[in-house]
Amino acid sequence: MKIDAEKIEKFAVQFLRTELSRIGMKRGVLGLSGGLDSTTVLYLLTRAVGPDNSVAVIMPHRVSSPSSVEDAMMVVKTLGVRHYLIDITPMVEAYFEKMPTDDKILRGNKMARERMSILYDISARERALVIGTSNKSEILLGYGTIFGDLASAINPIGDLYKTQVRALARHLGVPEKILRKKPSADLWAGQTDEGELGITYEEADKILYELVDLRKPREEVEEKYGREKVRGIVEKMFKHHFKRLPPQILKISTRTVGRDFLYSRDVLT
Amino acid sequence: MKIAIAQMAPAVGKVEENLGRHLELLEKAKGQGAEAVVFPELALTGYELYDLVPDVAIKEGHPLMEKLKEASKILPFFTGFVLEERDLFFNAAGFFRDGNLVHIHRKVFLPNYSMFEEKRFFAEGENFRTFEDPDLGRVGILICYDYLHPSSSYVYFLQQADLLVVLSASPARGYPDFPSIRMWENMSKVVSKHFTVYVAYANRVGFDGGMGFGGGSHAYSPTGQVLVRLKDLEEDLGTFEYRREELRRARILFPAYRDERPRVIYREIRRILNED
Repeated sequence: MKIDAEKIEKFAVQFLRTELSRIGMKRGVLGLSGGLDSTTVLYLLTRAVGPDNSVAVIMPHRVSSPSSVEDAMMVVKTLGVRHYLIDITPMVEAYFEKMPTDDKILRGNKMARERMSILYDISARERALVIGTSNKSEILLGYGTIFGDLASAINPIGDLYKTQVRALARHLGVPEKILRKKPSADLWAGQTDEGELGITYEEADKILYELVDLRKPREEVEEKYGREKVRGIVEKMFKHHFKRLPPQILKISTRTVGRDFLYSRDVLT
Repeated sequence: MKIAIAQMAPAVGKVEENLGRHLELLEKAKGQGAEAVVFPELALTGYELYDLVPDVAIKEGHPLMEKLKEASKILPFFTGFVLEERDLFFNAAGFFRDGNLVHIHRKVFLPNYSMFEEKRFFAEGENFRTFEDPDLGRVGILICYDYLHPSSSYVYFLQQADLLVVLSASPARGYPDFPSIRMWENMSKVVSKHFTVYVAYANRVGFDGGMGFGGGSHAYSPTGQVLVRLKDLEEDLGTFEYRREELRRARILFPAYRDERPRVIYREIRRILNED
């Protein structure tokens, strides 16, 4: 699972540069939480198109940890990128006034989708492509909000496990404080990924790597890491599979979009 | 003579643009003293074609085919395109020289695993035939996955090929530093030395639908020495010296062809296939 961070940096930077120019855009925009993934992607984006063409959007809610905004602002200043600071509390709370709930998941999903909605608005205003910041661990475990944080046009780190993103971040010179942070969606006070998932990324990544990348028999992996843990991961992987796919279309004609109407994402660009 | 390898990044479906890139690179190679150029697999069309295959296919008489022939007046070259023949579509490679299409190879081994789905969109080629060129000698063309089956190179070896030209579109993948790129070089090291043949391997770069191609194009001498190595992951152009005398020297040092026993191999294959 060890990566050559220098080579991945070069590859990801070229990918961002190529895709942006193909789509005819100079700029990229992303939601910057002050966490590891979005900071890493912002470092890559800045190297691909420069700080003037990199737009960071910081979107705290009143329940967000104050250190998140501080860290995000530190990154913005260090990289010299353009940024927007937009408090999403009024819009989110305006909705929940009409539709009250204490359900943390419902509240968190709404926040994630509010952020997506702002990113796509700024995308159109700035003519900037929305760059995804979900990593492979999250995508495989389905740990994200569909049409929320999982929404993006292109994603340079979606095939890197969390532990690999950290190695890349270290190589890119991401501040130590962010490297050491406990991963968190920061949707409510005290939330951590590892607390919610019930497993550390260190361990989840190893299990996912053996199951997904190496295609080892599940029994062998269960023996090594424990049956409950591995089953939990497999269950999550399939339960949330829909989040990774475009909507299912009922097939009626002989040629259906997504099934037998097949073209490259980059066709004629 | 000097042969150039043009490690380019074709765009999916933009054939005119890709043709233009061919012309630029032919001129550039010529400027560097090259007398022939090798382009990657499907360099005219891009790789991830899916349902676009029939739309970008060319055949004898197609304006783009004529333009490719015309381009070969700059320098002779090998390139990859979609060939249409009797309503069949092949992942093909051609050798163009002095305004003519001299030789065509249709990809025999179509990969259909992992990220590859070529059998869904292409018909399979059926042969590995060498052709003679006054300057290049006896030449065999392979396309990407053809080359990962050593049996393909062996068939050319039995025809005493002097030069194997490999056109490739191999995505970079794996930890820690994309071993897929090195895999081709390992193959060339072995094939060139043990079949006493020059190998020119041209891989593409750039991105199709999130797949990034590895580059790492190279050439090997008939004694198994690396002659040129192009960059990983970015566009590049490199040349190597191709010398007929070097083939002779290699075959004196290591008479692999003389000592080969194709009849034994033939008998064994027949036995294995129960065709006796």
